[in-house]
Amino acid sequence: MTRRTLVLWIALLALSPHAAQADAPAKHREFVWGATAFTGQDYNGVFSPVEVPTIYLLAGQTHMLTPRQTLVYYWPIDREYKPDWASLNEEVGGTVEILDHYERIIQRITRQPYIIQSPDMQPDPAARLLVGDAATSLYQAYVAEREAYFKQVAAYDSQLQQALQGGKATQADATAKLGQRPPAFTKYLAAPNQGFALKLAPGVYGMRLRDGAGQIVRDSQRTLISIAPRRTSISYAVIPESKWTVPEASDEASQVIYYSAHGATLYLDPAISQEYNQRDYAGLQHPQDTTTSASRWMWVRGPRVDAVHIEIWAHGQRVGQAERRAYSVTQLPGAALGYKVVPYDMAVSPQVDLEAFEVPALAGVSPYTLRLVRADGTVVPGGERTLVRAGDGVPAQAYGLLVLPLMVGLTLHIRRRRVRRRSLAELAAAGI
Amino acid sequence: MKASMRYVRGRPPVPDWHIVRLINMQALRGLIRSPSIYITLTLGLVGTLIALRNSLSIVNSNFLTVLFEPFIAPLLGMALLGSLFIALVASLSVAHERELGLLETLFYGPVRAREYLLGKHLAHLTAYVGMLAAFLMACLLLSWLTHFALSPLLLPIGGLAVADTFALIGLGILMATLTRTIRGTLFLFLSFVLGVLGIHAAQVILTGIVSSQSFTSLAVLRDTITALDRVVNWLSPAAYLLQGTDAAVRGSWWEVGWYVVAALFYGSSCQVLAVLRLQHTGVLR
Repeated sequence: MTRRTLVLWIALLALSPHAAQADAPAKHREFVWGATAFTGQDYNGVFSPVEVPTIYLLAGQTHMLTPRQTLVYYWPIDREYKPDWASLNEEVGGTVEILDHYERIIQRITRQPYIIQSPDMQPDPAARLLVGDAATSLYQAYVAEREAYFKQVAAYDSQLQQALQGGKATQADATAKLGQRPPAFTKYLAAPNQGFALKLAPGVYGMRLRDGAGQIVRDSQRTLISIAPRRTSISYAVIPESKWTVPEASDEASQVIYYSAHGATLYLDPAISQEYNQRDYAGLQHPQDTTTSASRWMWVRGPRVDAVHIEIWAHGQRVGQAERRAYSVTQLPGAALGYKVVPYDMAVSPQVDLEAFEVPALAGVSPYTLRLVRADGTVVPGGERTLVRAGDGVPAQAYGLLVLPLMVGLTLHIRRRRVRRRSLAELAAAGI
Repeated sequence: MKASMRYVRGRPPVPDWHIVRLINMQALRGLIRSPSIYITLTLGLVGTLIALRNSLSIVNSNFLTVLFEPFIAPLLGMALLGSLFIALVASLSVAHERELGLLETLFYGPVRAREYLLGKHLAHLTAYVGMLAAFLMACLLLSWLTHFALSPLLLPIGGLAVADTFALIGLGILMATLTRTIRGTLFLFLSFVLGVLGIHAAQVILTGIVSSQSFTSLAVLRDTITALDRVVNWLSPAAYLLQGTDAAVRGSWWEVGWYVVAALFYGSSCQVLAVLRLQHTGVLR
């Protein structure tokens, strides 16, 4: 085969329709579990096909499980299994059975309506879960309110039309007579879904779905890991004025905050935080995540601590107090850059950049401690922190420490050699 | 007849503490007069100064930093370095005296294997306690000079380090009785240490690589090494120290106690096995 023929064959193969086709993933119908799991701050939707047999849930919280039939495919780019809800999303009914370590059924759960609702009914992270009659009643109340609104708007529009008919009144006259149009209805609530509400103590459980005929639904068995935090503490975001975009975290009371001799004011933002196993916590959010490690632990910053103030103590005496305030941050002009944090003033700045407790670096006082105190005067456990002014550098005396053990060792070694030499000399003199 | 067995008959089962003390004092004297223990202490202090200097540099360049007990990492470094050194010296000392035939001579006298090994064990542990105490005193001085807080947590961690070293010395002595030469002992000890360190380092590195999202295909290898590391954690006394320190930091004192008891049991078991080994094989070169 000549070189020209070979090149021609390669070109033909490259241009063939088969080569131009993208690899479409193979999809197969499968029983899967969907879970709306509470992660400590919000509700997160997770998906568990047969290939991902473990579902992680936060202990002591209510989560919703939704068994489904769907098409599952493996997506190599993300290295994970994905559902094709658009092609198939079929609810599966029955009774969920939760099993303990000894395979005994400890809970039987039936399907109920549920709604994820936020306080102002806007879909936002601070949502809460309503199950059963509470969900149904809430939705009915919402629908009634919405219908009442539409009736009110329709009546208003009708009155406005009548007022404007015949050109007797202008739009402004009609509005002055009828008043403003009812403000837009901005509330939103999705219709209740059907699911299985589940709340578990920490531990490892089995789970399966039993259908109406009393048979276990094929591929419905899963392992449930109900996780709990190892520790709960108060975590401070420690924000230096000069580097307010790069806060540090002090997650527990033993983490001392050191500031330099040139240290400026600190801004502290306390929040409740919990320490979780890294893999368990990642499993809550993303069960197919393989990047996390079971041997690592992580602090998860939770809700902000409200209705508290910070007391500053030094040498056993209270020397100051800080309240949470709003601040704006302005960038300093000039080549040096940097930031300046100033109390928020609506007239000067359009937005609040920072809400925190301002703690000044106390001149000549080190160490000093901070206590997080509630309005009733009780100290919030885990909210204590020590602030220490660190030295400018390692003083020269410290290097002297390195010489000390060497000197002692050398002295003893020389002495030992001398004694040995003297003994050998004495033995030699004695003719031994 | 095996030298160690000859004088065992007719002797009470408890060790003769007078002999233990004599061997202990002699070994301790040798340790105190050798420069290596002071070099180890100096190395620990060099590491501590580097760590403190680094922390101070971070504080001064960032104006502030949050540090978790700045002396714990240096203490752990010193404790591990010191315990490995002392255990190695203990094992080599037994192997050396055996190779020279000193044990044979000793065991023809009123000395038995358990008194000899117990004396050696306690001497090296005492030297370690002295080294750790000197280090903690240096930390006290450094805390005053740098203004870094010295936590009372260092004391229980120091206690844990002593228990851990008790176990490691026991292991070193057991290794010395398993081989008949200094070279064999050195090879066995270093193989164990490097093996444990290698597995742990591989676990840490793989976890870091996989966490960075770049090499998720290594996740299975990471999980396998992690499982292996968990097994090794039971065999390595140093792992008791690290896990016990983690428990102390969390304030889980029952866990700390558990690790202390486990380390003491480990060391005692090694000591008993070493005695049995010497009694079984004898001390002849």
